[in-house]
Amino acid sequence: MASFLLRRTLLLLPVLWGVTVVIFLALHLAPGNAAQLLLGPLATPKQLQALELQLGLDQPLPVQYLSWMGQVLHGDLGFSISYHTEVSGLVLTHLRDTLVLAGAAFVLATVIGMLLGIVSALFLGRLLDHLINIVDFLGLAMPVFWLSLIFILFFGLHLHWFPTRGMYGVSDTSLLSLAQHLVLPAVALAAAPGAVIAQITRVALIGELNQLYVKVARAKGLSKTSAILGHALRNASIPIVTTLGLEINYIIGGDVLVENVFNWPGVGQLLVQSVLNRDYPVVLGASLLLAVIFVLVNLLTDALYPLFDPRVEVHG
Amino acid sequence: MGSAAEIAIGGVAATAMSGEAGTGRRLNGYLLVGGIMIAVLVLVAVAAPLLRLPDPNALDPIHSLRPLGAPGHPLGTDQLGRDLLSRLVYGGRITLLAGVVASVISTAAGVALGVIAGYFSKWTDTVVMRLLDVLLSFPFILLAILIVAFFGPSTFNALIAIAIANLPFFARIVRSEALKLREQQFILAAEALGASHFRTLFRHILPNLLPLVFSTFFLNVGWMISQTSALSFLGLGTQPPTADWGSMLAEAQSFMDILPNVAMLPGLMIAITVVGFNILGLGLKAYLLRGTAA
Repeated sequence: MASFLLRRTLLLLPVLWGVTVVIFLALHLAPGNAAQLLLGPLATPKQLQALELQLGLDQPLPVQYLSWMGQVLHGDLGFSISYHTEVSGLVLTHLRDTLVLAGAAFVLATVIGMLLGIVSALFLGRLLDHLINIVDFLGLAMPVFWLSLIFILFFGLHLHWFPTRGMYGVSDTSLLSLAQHLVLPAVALAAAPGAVIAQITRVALIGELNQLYVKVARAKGLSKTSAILGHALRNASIPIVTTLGLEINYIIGGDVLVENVFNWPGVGQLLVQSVLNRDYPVVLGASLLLAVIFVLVNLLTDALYPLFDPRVEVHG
Repeated sequence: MGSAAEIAIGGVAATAMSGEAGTGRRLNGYLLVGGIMIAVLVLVAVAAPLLRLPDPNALDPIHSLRPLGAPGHPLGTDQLGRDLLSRLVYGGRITLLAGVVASVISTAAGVALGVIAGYFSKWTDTVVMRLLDVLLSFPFILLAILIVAFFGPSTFNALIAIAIANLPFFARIVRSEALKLREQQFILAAEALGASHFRTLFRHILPNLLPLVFSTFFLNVGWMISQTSALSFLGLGTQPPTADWGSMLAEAQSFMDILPNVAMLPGLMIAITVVGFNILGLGLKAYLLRGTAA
């Protein structure tokens, strides 16, 4: 297990390196001067000259990359143009709020998705199965930003069940207020990945149902439900775990949109606002952070593998 | 990402199609329904100038925020008095075109890279696949936002960004197919007869990949439309006053409590289009790949 994890972690280094190269290139291949992009339109020629020297813009690209990497590794992501503060601190405060939303959506999508998939497999070919399939199909086809607007319109403006903007009420930072504000964005964000999980669970379970060991379990007198829950589900969980990394991709992508619709103060909203404000240091910092988190979560799902499939452990 | 959506959508189709047996190519219901939906959408988009609609950008502040069925404006007007039906039709032109062009670009580049990686294997494969792994290690929307951030928001940059961000998924599907084909007898036979790499690729590998490429292309258009609309919705795609469905939704946000249909209609159109392309893609897949290994 330890060597498996170590090997996976070492494999991660070239990927992380690639991520920093892409982000570095995005800045330097963009039209315009990198120093100008980083300092904004109000920079004085003197500041520009100083930053050009510091970034080494007269140096070859690989040298520039190394000095930029040196800064990043020291936690120095530069200075925000529009927020007038350190990018690293700014991004980290927003990250907390994103984790609340994304975490809730992740749990919701996984639990509800698997439940729907199991129910679908139990009632295979029956009305309930078809209904769940249609719900999945819609969950995937409806753009998350539109689903969010519908939620706001119906549950917020029409029924007044839930607040529709922000993370807390005015002067009310209690957990209850947070929970109320969390419901709509978390459900909207969970819809598409939940539909994927439901379908993967269903397909995986159907595959297992034809296996001999399930037939044996049925033959010895187990009900269909306990055969599925007690025997088939564990084997079906392997493809489900595989898709967790994909689920994260959906959630990070959807999070950017949902945060902007619900005015949720997370990294996604910060990122889009910074793109619109041309606040490039924040764009780079937020991108780097989200990409690194994405890579790490994928490592984590890799590490979960042996727990579900003991065959992986030996030769990984 | 296309592949995941495909698994999920495929699950829905699998139950519906499981009753059908046989290996012949037959028209199926999916092909028919999806084909009709998309044909109607494309027809309206192409024929838009012939429909005698009002100018989609013409301002008429006195008649702003008219409800459904208002005289002269069957779908009402928006906050600036612009005709919603006209904006929906002309916005559809841009949305559809952006989705199709993005899908064409990522399909073409994905097929090229996937075939090269799969056919030449060894170090070419390693280099191409590792480069794609780096792209894959970004959440795809983040990659798209990063590209738009540095090249500026516009319809074209948004669709290029979405195309690049989705390229790896396509390349991977094609590569695994090319790898399988490479081991087939007829490819070995062609090589034994002295066919050049060029000839093997274009006469033997590519034609066999076409059904897969074609059906995946249509399955991807829906996803691309949803994604380019998302960028427009965030203000990173099509810029005002030009309408596309994503930017219309973004504008509708601030006054949808007064007039819900401005926020409902563009989203409904996106959803219908995505469903249409998904159904068509599934139908094509069942039609083209029936009886083959894939």
